[in-house]
Amino acid sequence: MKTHHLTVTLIAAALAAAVNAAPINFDFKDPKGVNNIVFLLDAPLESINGTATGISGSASFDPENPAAVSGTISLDVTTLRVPNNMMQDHLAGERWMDAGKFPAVTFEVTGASNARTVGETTEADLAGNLTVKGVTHSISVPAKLTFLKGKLKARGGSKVDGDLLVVRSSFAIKRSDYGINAGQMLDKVSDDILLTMSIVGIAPYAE
Amino acid sequence: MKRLLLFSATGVALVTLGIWAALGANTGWTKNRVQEMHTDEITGIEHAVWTDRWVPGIDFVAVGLACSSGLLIASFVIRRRKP
Repeated sequence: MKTHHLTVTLIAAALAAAVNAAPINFDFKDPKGVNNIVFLLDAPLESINGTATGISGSASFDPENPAAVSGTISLDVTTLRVPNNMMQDHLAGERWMDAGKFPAVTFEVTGASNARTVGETTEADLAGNLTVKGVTHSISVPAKLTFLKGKLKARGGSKVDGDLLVVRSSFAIKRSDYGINAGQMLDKVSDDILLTMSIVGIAPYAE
Repeated sequence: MKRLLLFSATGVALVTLGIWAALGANTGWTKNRVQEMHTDEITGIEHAVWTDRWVPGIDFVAVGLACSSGLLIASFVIRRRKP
């Protein structure tokens, strides 16, 4: 009888662990609106430094198995901001981002490699498909994923509690690879675009 | 007339440089908005908040000094035409 009771307890504990280890789905439409991607292009007089904030998408992340991360992050091109009005018009124009025809940039994350976790932070190389102006390339980018358990309510902006997943990544792409005024104005604006992504996904607990 | 043009040239140059210096002496291009960095608590994410503010850059200085130079040259031309 005692052995039977112990077996049931162990099975229940194993089931609970399995439920806890299930991947969590994070929504990257942050209600506080802090998600941003900074883009930097070198230029002779001063670097072109802008931000993009229209970020949405979702990702599945298992704290017990961070390498199994997957999901899609989308960026609304109309939210790109630079300090100068004329520069902003050019940026949204046909030769550069062509926001009218290609309103979104997407990064579909298919997996991670070289994952190493210390505490609540995992560093890994995220593999996926980046689509800009309708051109898709497979890329791998270094990223830092920080899982903040039960911090949603403490952060503010939510009445229910839940988990947070902060994703930080910095990498460069070439505008010529994505048809962004490819091969033009290289003496005035660099081919390399340095991107720094700082985003947080939220996963509210079921009420 | 010559004196008026000389005063105008000096005035335009001084006003241009004065506005440029008073609004931050920005050595880049003229800006229509500036970003201020904020940090989100808990996540530590730094994010920019844009504020509409006109900050003249060196293109503004160049246009101002070009106008000033034009007035200065005009003052010399007028002098040369006098008998």
